[in-house]
Amino acid sequence: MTQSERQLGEALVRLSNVSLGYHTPLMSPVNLEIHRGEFWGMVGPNGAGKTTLAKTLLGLIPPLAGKVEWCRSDLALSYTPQRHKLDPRYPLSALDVVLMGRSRGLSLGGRYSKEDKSRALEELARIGLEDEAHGTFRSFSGGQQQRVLLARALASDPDLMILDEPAEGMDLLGAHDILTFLKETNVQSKMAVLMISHFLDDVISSVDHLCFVNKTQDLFEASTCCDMASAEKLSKLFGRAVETHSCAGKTHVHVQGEESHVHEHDGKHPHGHSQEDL
Amino acid sequence: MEEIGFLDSMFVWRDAMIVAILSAAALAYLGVWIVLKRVVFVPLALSQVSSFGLVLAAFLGGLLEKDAAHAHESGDSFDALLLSVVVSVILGVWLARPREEGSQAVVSAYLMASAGVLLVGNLITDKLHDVESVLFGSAVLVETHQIFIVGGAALLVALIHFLYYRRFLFVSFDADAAGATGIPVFSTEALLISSFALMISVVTQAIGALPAFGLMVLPGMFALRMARSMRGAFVLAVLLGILSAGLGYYLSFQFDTPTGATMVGLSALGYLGSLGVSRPH
Repeated sequence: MTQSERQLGEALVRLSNVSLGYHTPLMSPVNLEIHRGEFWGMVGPNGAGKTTLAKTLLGLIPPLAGKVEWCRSDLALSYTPQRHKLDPRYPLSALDVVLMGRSRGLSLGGRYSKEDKSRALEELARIGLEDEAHGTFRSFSGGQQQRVLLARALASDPDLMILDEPAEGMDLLGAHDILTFLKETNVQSKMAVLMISHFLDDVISSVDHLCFVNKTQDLFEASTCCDMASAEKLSKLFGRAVETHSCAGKTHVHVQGEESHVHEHDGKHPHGHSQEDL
Repeated sequence: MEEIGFLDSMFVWRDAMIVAILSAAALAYLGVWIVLKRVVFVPLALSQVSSFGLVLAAFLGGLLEKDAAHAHESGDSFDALLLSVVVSVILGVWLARPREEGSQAVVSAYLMASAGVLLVGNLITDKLHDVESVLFGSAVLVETHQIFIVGGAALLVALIHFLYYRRFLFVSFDADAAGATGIPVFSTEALLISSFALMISVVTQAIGALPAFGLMVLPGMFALRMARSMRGAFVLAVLLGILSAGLGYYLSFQFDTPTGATMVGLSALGYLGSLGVSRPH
């Protein structure tokens, strides 16, 4: 399907009363529908079940109950894992890695075509690494590796692209560049993007839909960013008092420390008020 | 008495040399995958399972009043070989499970097979020396038919890897991303590990467990320290494997050293030498 044939708003993936988990359900059944052109952020503490949910969406983990529906028979999905989960031992060039994104539809014994190679180089150029196409992936900086993985995902021409912590371990500028690039790509290519991230500030500022996951509180909520980014909902997600405020068009989130949280319940003034950016 | 030169006695070592070189080339290629996938204990378990198959064949041969060692040499061991291949492939599929369960399976298989070798070996004390010669690669002679068995297995592995190379690479490097693009991860992993199982069980029966394990792991470790590309890693591993097998066989013949240990020793020297070289990016 060409990009011009893609219809914004078309349902891509639907989770109906899905129980997530490997052997026992992590939380109550969840419902979620993702449409073409949407940019989702999935937020929750470490070990909250975010990656399990993403893998269930992708069909990598079967649901314990309920239904995962891919709304097109030719739905193209891509997944970019956390960068540190990839083994640095592989002597692969950036081009080798990006070409993996062209594996869909490659017949047994088939070789990448000239078109595949030019598409891979085109994606490397888009992320500013055209001169490093033959450089070894393992020798790249974390930010460069992340961009190569992004190019691989884009080279697969996905309808839905899922990225697990794409800005993890990157400096402020690198993280900003990645998120800006994702936002632009989401708008230009009409693909849906689901980004798992701990950078709540950036997620809230970049995405148009949010999904909160926290298995320890049996919490799953998903809606538009406007509905979700309230101090009340964020406090529920993190189990601590959270404040939000806007500055220069960006939403900032702060969580109050345990100490101040206790004092508020006691009706006393918070002393040693500690705040932490999310 | 005049000593016969190495070349003059080609009729003695020709078949064994061919089998050793074919085995080394196939194992060294597969060893690159083994090292990349960080499953170096899988071939150890598989070679131990094959060793158990050999000991069991010797024991059963003894029960049937056959000479077990003779049975191995004469080709009557084909059933034992087939059984060993089937068991190893099934075990390989079992080992292709998720990492934690898989590593437990590797340890269990190794321990059970080791215990089996010792327990059954205790029952065949009269044949144990012959069997140990095969297990540790001390046997100098192989039968001509083993060229076809090892060569056939190597060809089958080459065909599988020609067809599935790109899938194997994607699944090994990033299984989740490969699964998301629609590649069946479990069956691809199972096929890859089955190719290890097939080759190592055939080679263990032909040249012994020690060289089978050593020639699978050491050239791969050497190559991945030296190479900047997958192709380079495969070429370097196969070259070291062939050199170790060929030169090792020659040296063991000339200096009357254990064949398998000499081959593995040369591979180990290659690997140790690579430790002194800074790893290329």
